[in-house]
Amino acid sequence: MSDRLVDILLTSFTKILIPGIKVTIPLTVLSFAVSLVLGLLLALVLVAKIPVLKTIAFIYIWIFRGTPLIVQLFIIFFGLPGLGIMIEAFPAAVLAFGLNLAAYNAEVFRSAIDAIPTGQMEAAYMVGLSYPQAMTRIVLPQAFKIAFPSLFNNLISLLKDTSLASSITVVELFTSAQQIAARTYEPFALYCEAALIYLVFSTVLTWLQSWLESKLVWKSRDDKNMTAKGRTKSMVGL
Amino acid sequence: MLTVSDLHKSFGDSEILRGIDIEIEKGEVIAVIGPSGSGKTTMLRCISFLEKADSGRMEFKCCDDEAKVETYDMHHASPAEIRRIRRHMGFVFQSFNLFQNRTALGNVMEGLVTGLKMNKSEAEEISRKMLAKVGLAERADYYPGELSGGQQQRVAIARALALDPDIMLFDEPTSALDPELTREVLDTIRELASEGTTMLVVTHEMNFAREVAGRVLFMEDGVIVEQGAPAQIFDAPEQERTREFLRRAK
Ligand SMILES: Nc1ncnc2c1ncn2[C@@H]1O[C@H](COP(=O)(O)OP(=O)(O)OP(=O)(O)O)[C@@H](O)[C@H]1O
Ligand SMILES: [Mg+2]
Repeated sequence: MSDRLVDILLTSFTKILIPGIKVTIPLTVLSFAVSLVLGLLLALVLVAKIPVLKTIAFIYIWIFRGTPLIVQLFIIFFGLPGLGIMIEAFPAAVLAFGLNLAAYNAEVFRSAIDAIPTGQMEAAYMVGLSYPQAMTRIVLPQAFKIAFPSLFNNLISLLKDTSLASSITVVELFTSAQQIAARTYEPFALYCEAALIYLVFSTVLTWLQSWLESKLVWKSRDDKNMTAKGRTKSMVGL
Repeated sequence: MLTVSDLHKSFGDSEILRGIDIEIEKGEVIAVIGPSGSGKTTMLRCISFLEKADSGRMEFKCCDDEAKVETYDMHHASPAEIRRIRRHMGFVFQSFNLFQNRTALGNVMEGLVTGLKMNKSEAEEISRKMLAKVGLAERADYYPGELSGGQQQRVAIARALALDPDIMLFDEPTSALDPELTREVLDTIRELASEGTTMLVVTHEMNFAREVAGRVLFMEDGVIVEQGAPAQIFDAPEQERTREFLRRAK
C-alpha cells in the first residue's frame, strides 16, 4: 500500500466516523423509536380488531412493505414539497425510515402478541382485569420478550439502510465516504473503510443484543442465575 | 343463589347448548358429567361470559333480600354488567392459564391489586394465605414454568379464591394432569367443598363426582338429560342415555 493511500485512509477515518456518530446513529435511534411506537400501535389495532382502524393499519402495512424504501424516501423529501409540505433532509429521513420500519415492526409485534395463549387473557378477565390492563400487564410484557430478537434484527438492518439517506442530502457516514472518494479518486479504499465502520457499529449492536437478551431471559443451567433457593428461573418479570 | 335459564348457544349452524336451566344454591357442589362435545365447556364459558350466549337469563341472589337480586340478559349484558357478574365468580381452567410473567404469588395478587385496587401489602397477605391454603406457601416465588401441572392448577385455584368469589367454576380441572397430580388437585377441591364453597365442577372423575358432589348433572347434546343426587345418577339413572354413558365411562 502506498504511503499516500495510508495517509488518506487515516485522515479520512475520523471524517467518516464523526458523521457516523453524529448523524448515522441519531438517525438510526430516532427512526427506530418512531417505528417502535407506531409499530406497536398498528399491532394493537390489528389484534383488537377495531373495525375501521384495522383496515387502515392493514393498508398501511401493505403499502410500506410493498414499495422500495428509497422510493418512500424520495416521495417524502422530493415529492411532498410539490404539495407544499417542506421537510428538511434529516427529519425527512427519520420519517421515511420510521414509517417504513413501523410496518415491519407491526408484524413482529402482532405475531408475538398472537403467540401468547388467549387463555391468559381470559384468566385476566376472570380476575377482574380490563382489556387494557390485561394487555399491558400480562400479554405485552411476554410478547415483547418474544419480539425482542426480531426487533433487534430490524434495528441492525435499519442501521445499514440509513446509508440511503445520502441520496437525499443527509450528510451521514456514507455521504462523507462518497465525498472523500470523489476528491481522492480512491473509491475502493474509502468505501471499504465505510463498510468497516458500519461493521463495527452493527457488531456493537449485536453484542448489545446478546447482553440485553441475557438480562431479559434467565438461562437455565447458568449458575449465576440460580436463585438463593438453588433453582433456575425460566423467566423474569419485566 | 345463581340461576341460569333457557341458555342457548350455537357455533355456526350447530346448536351446542339447546336450552340449559341450572339452579345453584349457596354451598352446593354440583358436578357436571357428560360425553365429550356435549357442551360442558361451552356452558361454563357462557355462564362466565367468556362466550356470548345467543340467549339466556341469569339471576344472582347474594342473600334473601329480594331488592339485591341481580338479573342479566346473557346475550345483551353490557361490559359493566359482565364485570359485575364476574366479581361473583372464580374460574379454574382445564389448562391452568397462569400468567407466565408472574410468580405464583404474583398470579394470585394480580386480581387483587389491579382488579380490585387493593394496596400491595394487604394483597400480598391475602395471596400468601391463599397459597398456604392450597399447600403452596413455599412455592410463592416460583414462576409457572417451574411448577408441576398439579401445582400450577392449585395456584390457579388460589388465584380465583383470593377474590372471594361466591361461586367457583371448574372446567375439568384435572384432565391435563397425571393421576398422581390429579389427586392433589382433587384433594384441594374436596377441602373447599368441606368448607362450604359453592362450586360447579365439570369433571370426568366419576368417583370424585360421586364422593364430593351434592348433585350431579348429566349433559348430552346440549341439554341436561338428568340430574340428581350422586347415588341416584350413578346407581339408578332414570334415563337410558345416562345409563349408556355410564356404561361406556366404565
Ligand atoms: N369456539 C368454537 N367454535 C366452534 N365450535 C365450537 C367452539 N367451541 C366449542 N365448539 C363445539 O361445541 C361442541 C361442544 O364443545 P365443548 O367444548 O363445550 O364440549 P365439552 O362437553 O366440554 O367436551 P369435552 O368433554 O371434550 O371437554 C363441540 O362440538 C365443539 O366442537
Ligand atoms: Mg370441555
